[in-house]
Amino acid sequence: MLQLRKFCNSLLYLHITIKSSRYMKSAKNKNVLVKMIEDKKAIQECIRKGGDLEKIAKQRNVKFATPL
Amino acid sequence: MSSLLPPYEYYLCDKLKYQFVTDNHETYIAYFLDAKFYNEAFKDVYLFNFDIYGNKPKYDERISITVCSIIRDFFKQHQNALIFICDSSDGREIGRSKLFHRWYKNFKNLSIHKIDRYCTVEGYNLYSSLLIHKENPRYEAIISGFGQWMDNGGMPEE
Repeated sequence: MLQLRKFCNSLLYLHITIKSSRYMKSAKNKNVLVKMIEDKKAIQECIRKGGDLEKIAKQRNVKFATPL
Repeated sequence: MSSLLPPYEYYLCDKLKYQFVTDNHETYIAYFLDAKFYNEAFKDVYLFNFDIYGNKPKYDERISITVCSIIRDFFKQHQNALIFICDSSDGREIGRSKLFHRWYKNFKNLSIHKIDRYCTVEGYNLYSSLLIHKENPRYEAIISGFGQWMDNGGMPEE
């Protein structure tokens, strides 16, 4: 009976760990679109003020591309 | 849009952005961001936007013609795809989205397909569009990825 209880507790612990890990991953992923919007706003402000885009790129961890 | 007006000449600036100057002496910036930084599945996919140095631009038909010219050049590489996002941070997302759609229709290039999506995330309304060449070697995968990405509010499929 004690072993059964230990087994159930370990299963419960495993379930909580997996659920917590998935929540953290979702919380991180959920912000990607918001980050993109905020990156756009930061870049827009930089452009309108004639600021340094390279600096903004490093700060925001984005990469400007020149595909043309 | 008058097809008789030529686009402004644009040029690469600081290896980061493209720039053109209008007859009203306004400087416009067009830039691409590597979308792989937002979603690892987006290889050769770019976020596109353009803006003006300073404020209060004057209407000039050649601006839209120039932006279309830039996008036309972009799609000379068929593996490229482009995402354009209109967000509600300034309340003009619907108008901007409609404007972009009007430009796309005037583009008159049936090889470039446009897929639209709308989502709400953390209080922002997003009208987004994917432009992709019909001969893109990853056509189905990119469209599928874009659709899932937007439908999930920016969360990739698990």
